[in-house]
Order: sequence, then C-alpha cells, then structure tokens
Amino acid sequence: MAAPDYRSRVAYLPATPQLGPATVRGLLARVAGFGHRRELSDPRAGLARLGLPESVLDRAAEDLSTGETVRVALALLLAGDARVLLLDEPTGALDPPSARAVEAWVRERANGGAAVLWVTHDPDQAARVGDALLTLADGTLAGPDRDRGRFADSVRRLDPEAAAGNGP
Amino acid sequence: MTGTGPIHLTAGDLAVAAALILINAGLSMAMSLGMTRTIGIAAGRMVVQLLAVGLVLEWVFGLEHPAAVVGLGLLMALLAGREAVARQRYRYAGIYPVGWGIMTGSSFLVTGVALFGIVSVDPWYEPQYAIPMLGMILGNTLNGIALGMDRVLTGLRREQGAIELLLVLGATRREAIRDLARDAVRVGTTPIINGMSVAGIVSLPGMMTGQILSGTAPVEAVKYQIMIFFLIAAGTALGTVGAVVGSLRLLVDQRGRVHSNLLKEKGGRL
Repeated sequence: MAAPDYRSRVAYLPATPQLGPATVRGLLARVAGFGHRRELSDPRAGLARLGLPESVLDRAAEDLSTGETVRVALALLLAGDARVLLLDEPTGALDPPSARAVEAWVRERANGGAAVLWVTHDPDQAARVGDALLTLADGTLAGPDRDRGRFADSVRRLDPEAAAGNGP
Repeated sequence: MTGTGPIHLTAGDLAVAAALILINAGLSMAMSLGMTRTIGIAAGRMVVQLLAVGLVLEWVFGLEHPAAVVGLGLLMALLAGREAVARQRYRYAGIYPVGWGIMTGSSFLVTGVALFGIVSVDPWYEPQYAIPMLGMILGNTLNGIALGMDRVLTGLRREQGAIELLLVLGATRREAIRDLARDAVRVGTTPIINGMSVAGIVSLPGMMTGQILSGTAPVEAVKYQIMIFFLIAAGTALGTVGAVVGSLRLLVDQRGRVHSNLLKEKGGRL
C-alpha cells in the first residue's frame, strides 16, 4: 500500500503535534486538498466540537497554545476516515471539558468500527474510555485486560505519580 | 571592436588606486572598527587572486584548445559549487557532490545554449566568450544555490514536525514538502529578479560598463547585457531548483520520512 494511503487509514497523533506557520484556515484548506484524503465530516465542525471558537481559524497555527494545537490536530485527524487511530496522550494538555469532548468523539469513531490505541497516564480516563487495557512497565507489555472495573487501579499501581496528579 | 581601445593602466596608475584603500584603513582606525588588518588582507587577496587569474586566462587564451577551456570551466564550476555549500549552516553527507554536480550541470547547459544557439561563436571554445559568460553565470547561480539550500535545510530541521503532521494526515511526499520547496526556490531566485528589475535604473551592470569602457558602442554592450541577464536568470533557476530538489530527494525518502538526523549543524567557523 502506498504510504499516503496507509497513513490516511492508520492515523497517528504525535504527543506534541506541530502545525506549521500557516493560519489554521490555510492548514485546513491544504489538508483538504490532499489527493489521498477522505473526510467523514468537516474539520471546521470538529474545531467547534472540541471547543475552539471560530476566531481560531485566522490565527497562525504555530502561535496556538499547546492545548489548542492538539485540538486542531485532533479535529483534522478525527474528521478523516482512518480505520485505526494511534493517539499518544491526546488529552494531556487539555482542560477537563475539552478532554471529555475528545473522549466522546473518539468513542464515536470506535463505535463506528475504528480500532483505537490510546496512550494515557490517567487512571480514570483509562476506566472511562478503554475496552481493553495494555500496561507497559519496565519495557514489558502486559495484557490485554478486558475487565473495565480494574483499569483505574492497574494504571494507579503502575504510575502512582501521574495518578496523584490526575486523580480526583 | 568599435571606437578606440581602452587607455592602458600602468603600475603607477594602480598604485594611486591602491592608495585609496587608505581611506578605508583610516576610517577603521578613526572609528575603532578593528578592521584595519582585515581590510588589508582582503585588499591583498583581491590583488593577488585577480593577477593570478589574469595570468591563467592569458595562458588558456593562448592555448586555443577546447580541452583547456572546458578544463578551466570545470575547475571554475567545482570551486563555485564548493563555495555554495561551504557556508551552509546544516549539511549532509553528499552535499558537496550535489553542489558540484548541480553547479556544473546548470552552468554548462546555459553557457552551451549561449555559445551554440545565441552568439554562435566559431569555434565554440573561443575563450573570449566561453569563460566570461560561464563566470558570470556561475557567480549568480552560486547565490541562488546557496540561498535556496539554506532555506530548504533550515526548513527541514525546524519544520520537520509540521511536515510530519501533514504526512500523518495523508499527504504524499510531494504534498508535504511542496511549500518548503517553493519557498526555497523563491528565496534563491529573488536576487536575480531584483537585479533584472533595477538594471539600468539603480545599477549599471558591471559587464556592460566594462564593455563600454573598452570601447564597445553602448547599444551593443546593452544587447550583450540583456542576453547575459537571461542566461543568468535561467542558470540561477535551474541551479536553485536542482539544489533544492536534489537535497530533498536525499533527505526525504520515498515514503515521505524526513531524515533530519542526516543533517549536521556546522560548528564555529563562519
């Protein structure tokens, strides 16, 4: 499979995405023009869904805050028709309402048949969104554990510091 | 040649001209610029280099052999190629061969078009035409290559994350690096476009003034200058595009992956 086709189907969100110097509007137009790109929905609607105001369109993408940057990248990624989503801490820089909006949208995509691999340090998030938990400790991957009731505790055990920071 | 030849300069005349450098040296001392020594060395280099090249040119002109002209041309192109990449902030393995190859290819092609298709020099290796034209094309193409390469290599290093995000969203390699390549070519060809825009108004090009000084009728000198501008513009465009595309092909692979680890930042020396 050609690389662009593969990447359109197996979408990856880097932990710290970079959007480049164009305005958000310009970036959206450019991405929409890619020959291999198929969109399930309008990324502009996605921006609103993730809590970004219309005014963000006219700002230089590289001047956005970390949280805004991640949300623009997610809006583009989730509006595409990827079959597999690889998300590296997608909500690490987001406030709780935005994080919930991301979780809801990703869940929607998963219900629509997409496979999602979601990296998180947040035990409650793991319990909220996960269907199967894989734990990575000291280079060893364990799981999958499919008992959702245990997810939060498993993550807390592995990552007490993050749990203390992110927990209720 | 029309009109009379130029007035010959004697060693005494040059000595008077050289004394003008004292103005620069005096200003440097008066304003404590600390450049006195640098000015002296630069002036000395200029005199020695030009005298040496004058002797080499006299020798090659005397040989009247195509191999001598092509050989000198190759040497000039290789030196220009080296100069274009020597001061790059970021470099990669193979940057010198790219510089040499692109410089030689673009300048020889354009000079060839001029010698065979425009001026129709007979024999084509008449060094009076081939060498100065090649020299002018090289001097300008060098700038285009150096500026274009700097933009593209700096851009790959600084904008790698943004390029990779476009790839992640389904861009082909061409779509992902298109803006960077365009930008680099624009940067590389801007000086020659500026040069053409102000030619004759702000600047009197050196070649034209040289011909007028040596007795050529102004309109004839202008015609040559117009041709030279087109040659330079074509050479610069070819060289810049070649260097930008060549660098991108080496640093971004078929699947669009950016290998910025191949870029080494140059330390220290300016």
